[in-house]
Amino acid sequence: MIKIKDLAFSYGKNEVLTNISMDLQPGKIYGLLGENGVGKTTLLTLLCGLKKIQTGSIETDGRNPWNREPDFLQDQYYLPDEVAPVNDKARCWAKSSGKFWPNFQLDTFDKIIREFEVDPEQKMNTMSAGQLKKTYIAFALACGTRFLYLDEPTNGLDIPSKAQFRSALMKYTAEDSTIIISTHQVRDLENIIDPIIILDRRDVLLNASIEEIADKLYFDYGTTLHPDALYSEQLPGGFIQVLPNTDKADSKVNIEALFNTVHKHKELVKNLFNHE
Amino acid sequence: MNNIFDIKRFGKYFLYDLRNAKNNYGLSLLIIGTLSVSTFVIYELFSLIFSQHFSEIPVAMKYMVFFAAITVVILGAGTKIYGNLTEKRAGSNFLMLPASTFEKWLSMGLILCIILPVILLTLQLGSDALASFIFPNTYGDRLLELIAMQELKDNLLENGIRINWTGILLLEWSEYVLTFALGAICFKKSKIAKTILCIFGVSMIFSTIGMIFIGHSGTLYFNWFDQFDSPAKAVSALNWLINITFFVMVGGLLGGIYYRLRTLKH
Repeated sequence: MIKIKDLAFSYGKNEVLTNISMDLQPGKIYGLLGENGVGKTTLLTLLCGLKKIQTGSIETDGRNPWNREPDFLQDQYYLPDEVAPVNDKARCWAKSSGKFWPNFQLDTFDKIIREFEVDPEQKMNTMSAGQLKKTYIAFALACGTRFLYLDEPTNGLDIPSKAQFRSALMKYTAEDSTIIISTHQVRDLENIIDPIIILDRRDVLLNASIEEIADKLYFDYGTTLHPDALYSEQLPGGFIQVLPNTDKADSKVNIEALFNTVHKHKELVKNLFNHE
Repeated sequence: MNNIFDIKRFGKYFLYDLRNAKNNYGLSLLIIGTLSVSTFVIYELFSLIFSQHFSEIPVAMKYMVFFAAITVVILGAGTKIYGNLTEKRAGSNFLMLPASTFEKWLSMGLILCIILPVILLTLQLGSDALASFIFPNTYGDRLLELIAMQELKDNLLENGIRINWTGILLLEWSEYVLTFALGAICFKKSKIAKTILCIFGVSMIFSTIGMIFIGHSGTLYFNWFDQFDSPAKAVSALNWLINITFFVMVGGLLGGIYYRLRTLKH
């Protein structure tokens, strides 16, 4: 379990994260959303120990990630937005790097990379950005870690690969894994991320499961415009509108509309989802 | 599991690091290491074109190429093998790899201070010996014979002076290569140029301090030498002094590299 308490981080005078507190439970795929510059990548890098915490604390199973202890590192994998082109064949690289993660399976890597239609015998520094990303995704999933941090994993992937990524993520991760995916491409991951975390510069605006969101907000896909809608957007053939779910009606959560609603009504949404 | 040092994990990491070093710098090292032979081939080609016959390559040129190759490796090896640690993409991979900072640091030190000079010298002297064996008339003496300085060593020994040349050369190599490696993992851009600038800066500071020291207690320094009743003992003491200085400097550089690796952020 990951416990984040009163976390704050700044780059010089530029405050990026302030007053961030939340608990991340095992067995869930968290979607980390937020506008540009709110600190999604910073939060991921703090979680995996690439940056040192300035204020507050992060505890992953009771340990400070910044210590970067080997037995801690072998239980997690961080996939950055941009990945390094290594001067080595994908399979050879995976084989030599994978030795450090005790649960790494080379045959799983082979399966995933083939599903992505990438040649494992190709040198990584001759791959396109998309192919390289797929290689790293295959490696990240083959590591079989309990904590997986993915920063914009679908950036640079073609349309079929996005579906392959979703299916591989569901298929090759353990049930008790804690997966945190930071993304702007919410449509790519709409059906797999649950709960949703929406970050703001000053706060966590929302940290709720899809069930909880659907319980408190109603997503209307009709053609009639509701005057009391918290958010509305015209779509071809109708509207997507978000309303308080006073009648406890069922609806399918639209993450993009949810994100815009949260940003338009920060305090209202925070109060609506306040657990205390 | 020991989180500081585990021999099995270190072995795995060392092989991994060695493999990366080979991928990043292997070809360059091969080209640089066999530079004396390439220079010889080019020299003979030009000789054939301009004077229609093969001629013996000057010894000075062989020396020059030999030391130039060492200089190029000292300047560039750290940057080529470990320079990408300051870059977010490769640096994240390095930091997130499940091995301790101590193991990563130790592996870096071994590769730069032991493996690299051994391979470079093997390549240089091996290719040189081969060229000397195949073309005895035009290539001339082997570098090993030229740089061994056996005559000088014999002369010194006759006077009872023993100098640990291997130790001094190894420490000197380590000092230079680690300085540029530290620069490579500290600076994001223009790593070599900035390291040279830093060396200038540090040298100026130390020279100034040294001048002040000699100005104030120079006689003390010379008196210290006077206490030795033979040149052999004085040289031996000087040898110790040099060794200690190198040890301190190499130790300081290794400490700096460890600190940088431990505090590296992305």
